[in-house]
Amino acid sequence: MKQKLGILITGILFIVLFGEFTVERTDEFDLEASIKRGKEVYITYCLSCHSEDGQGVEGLYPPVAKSDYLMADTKRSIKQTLFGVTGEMTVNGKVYNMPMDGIDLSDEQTSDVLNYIRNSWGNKGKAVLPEDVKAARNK
Amino acid sequence: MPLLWAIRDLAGLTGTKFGCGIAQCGACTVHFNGTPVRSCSIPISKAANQTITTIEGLSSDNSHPVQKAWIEEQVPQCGYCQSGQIMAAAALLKKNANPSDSEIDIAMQGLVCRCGTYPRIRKAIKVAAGMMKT
Repeated sequence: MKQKLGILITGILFIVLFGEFTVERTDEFDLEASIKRGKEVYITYCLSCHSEDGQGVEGLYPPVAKSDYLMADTKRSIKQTLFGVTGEMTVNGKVYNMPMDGIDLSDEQTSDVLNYIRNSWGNKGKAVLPEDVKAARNK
Repeated sequence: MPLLWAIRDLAGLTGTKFGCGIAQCGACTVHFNGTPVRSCSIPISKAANQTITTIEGLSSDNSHPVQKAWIEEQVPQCGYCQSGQIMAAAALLKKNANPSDSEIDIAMQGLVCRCGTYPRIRKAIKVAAGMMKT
């Protein structure tokens, strides 16, 4: 009897702990941690064109710092990060036209790098979740 | 035509090297209005009326502090990537006269050296920073 009770209590404890863990995962996205991870992705894949301070290179690569184009459309940013972009774009009133290759990143890496870019150098943006990336990737 | 083609084949300045051709290795790094860029991936049309500096333009006699530091520290092994490394280092020191190790690592990220001369590159940048102060 005691043994059965023990198993039951362990079972209930497991469910409670596991349940809490699930709630935490889906409800609370740690934006700060994502931004921190995203900086590493940015340094590896983006910095050589868009520069350390996000200013890009005038006449060549558009800025991601305080960029109206970037902040206007999160889904577009996700797709451009993953699949690249060609053709003209107007960023902060200036026309740029340099192709960017897509980058082979996971959903989490993409969310991290966008969270870093969208929350650095004066940018302030809502968190981009890995789920958002997954949804945009498959559309 | 990529800027690198014009630099090497038309202007005959062969100090800038072709590495990967897709802006991933940094061997073709030149200054575009003072900013280090990958010349293999920039169309020549974008360079019109802009100031482009190649390794030949740093000095006529290897007297630029970065070049002097590179020689002092004997940085290169095979040497193929080194003009790109030097151009990136020169641009870094222009912006940041006294870079820390991590600032050097970030600025020099993406400039690939197959011989693995990274520790000497870092050391030479510090030596060059010292030379520029005096």
